[in-house]
Amino acid sequence: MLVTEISLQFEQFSTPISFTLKPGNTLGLFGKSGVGKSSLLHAIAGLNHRFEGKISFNDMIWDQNNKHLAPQIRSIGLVFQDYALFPNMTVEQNLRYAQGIDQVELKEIIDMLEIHSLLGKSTNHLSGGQKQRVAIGRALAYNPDILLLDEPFSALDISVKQKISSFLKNYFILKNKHVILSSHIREDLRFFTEDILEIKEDE
Amino acid sequence: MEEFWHPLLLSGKLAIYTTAILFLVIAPILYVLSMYHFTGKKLIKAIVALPLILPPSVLGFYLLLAFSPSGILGQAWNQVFNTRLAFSFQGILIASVIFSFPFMINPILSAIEGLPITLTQASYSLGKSRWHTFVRVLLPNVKPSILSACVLTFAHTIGEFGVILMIGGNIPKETRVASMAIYHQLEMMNYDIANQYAIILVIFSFVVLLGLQLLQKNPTRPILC
Repeated sequence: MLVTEISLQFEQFSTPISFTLKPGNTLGLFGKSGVGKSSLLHAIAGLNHRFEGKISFNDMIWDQNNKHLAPQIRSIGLVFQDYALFPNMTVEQNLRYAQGIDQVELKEIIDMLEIHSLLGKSTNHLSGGQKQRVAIGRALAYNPDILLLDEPFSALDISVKQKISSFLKNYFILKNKHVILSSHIREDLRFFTEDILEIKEDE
Repeated sequence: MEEFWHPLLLSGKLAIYTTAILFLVIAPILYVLSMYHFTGKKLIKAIVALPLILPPSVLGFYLLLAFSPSGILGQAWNQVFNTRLAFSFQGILIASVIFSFPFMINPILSAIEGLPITLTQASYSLGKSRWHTFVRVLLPNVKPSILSACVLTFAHTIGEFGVILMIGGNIPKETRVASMAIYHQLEMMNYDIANQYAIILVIFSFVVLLGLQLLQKNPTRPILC
C-alpha cells in the first residue's frame, strides 16, 4: 500500500497532497498545467525532494525528514512526459534495458502496444506517439510494483489510445499494480478509475 | 633526413601518449563531476579549466620548480627512477598532460551536462546504479564529443610550445618536438627548414579541423540562419 502525505514546495505556492493507494487500484491525477502533477510523480519515484511530509510503501518509509530512499530501490516504473528513451539504443534495447518479465510476457506487451515493427529502429527516428508507446512498454517490462504514468496518452491518436487504454486497464488489474495516472483530460482518467484526485494550489 | 623527421615523430609520440593518459585519467573525474552533487564541485571545475587561460609561462614556471632536482616531484622521481624529470621526455609528457587536461575533459563534461536530466532519472527509476547509468546511457550519448576531445587534445599537444620550452628545453631526440624545432631552426637562421616544419604543422592543423567538422553530425552553423 502506498501512503502519501506531502506538501509540494514551489517558489510561489505549495500543493498539499494526501492519498492512500492499494494494490490493483488506480489513482487519477487531475489538475491544470504547472500545479504539480509531474512533481508529485517524481517525488514518489524519488527524483524530486522538494516537499515536506512522508511517503511510505508497504509500511516502509521512503521519504521523511529530509531522508530519502534511493530511486533505484523503490520498484517504480515511471513513464516520463518527454518519454526519456535512450537515444543510443534501439527500441528493443530500451525495452530490455531493465527487463523484469519473461520473453512471452514481453512479446505480449510489444504486440499490444503495436511496436513490433519498431524494435530494430533507433528511438531518434520515431514519432511522438511511437515514443510514448515504447516508453510505456519499457516501464511495463521492468515489472515494478508501482507504475507512474505522466500524461501517457498525450501523443496518441484516439483509436490507438482506446486500444492501449483497454489493454492497460486489464493489465493493471491482472498484475495487481499500484498505478497513478496524470492527465489534464478528465475523461482519460475516468476510463481507468473513479478515484480521481484534483490537485490544487494551497489557498 | 632522419634528423628532420625526428622532432615530428617526437611530437606525434608526445601527443599520442598525452591523449591516451588523459583518456584514462579523466574517466573517474568525469564520473564524479557528472553523477554527484557536492560542495566544492564548482571549485574543482574551475581548477580543471585553469590551464585554458593560464599563460603557459606561469604553468611552466611552477612545473619547473616542482620538476627540478630539488623540487618535490623532481626529488621523488629521482629516487624512484634514478633519473631527472626536468628536461626529459617524461617531464614534458607530465607537463603536457596537465596543460591539455581541460581540452580533454571540458567538451565531454559539457556534452554530458547538456543531455536531458530525464535520461539519468529514467535509468535510476529503472533500478540502475550511477555507474551503470554513466557507462551505458551517458557516455554512449556523447560519443562525438569524446572523439572531438581526443582529437583536440592530440592537436593541442602537437602545437604546444611555451610549457615544453620551459620544462624540456631544446634537447635533440629528447625534448625537441616540432614546435621547438621551428624555434631552433629560426635561431640558426635556417628559414627553409623552419618553413618546412611550419607548413607541415599548418597542413596538420587544417586536416584535424576539417576532420572534426566532417565527424560532427551538427558542425558549426552559420550565426544567421
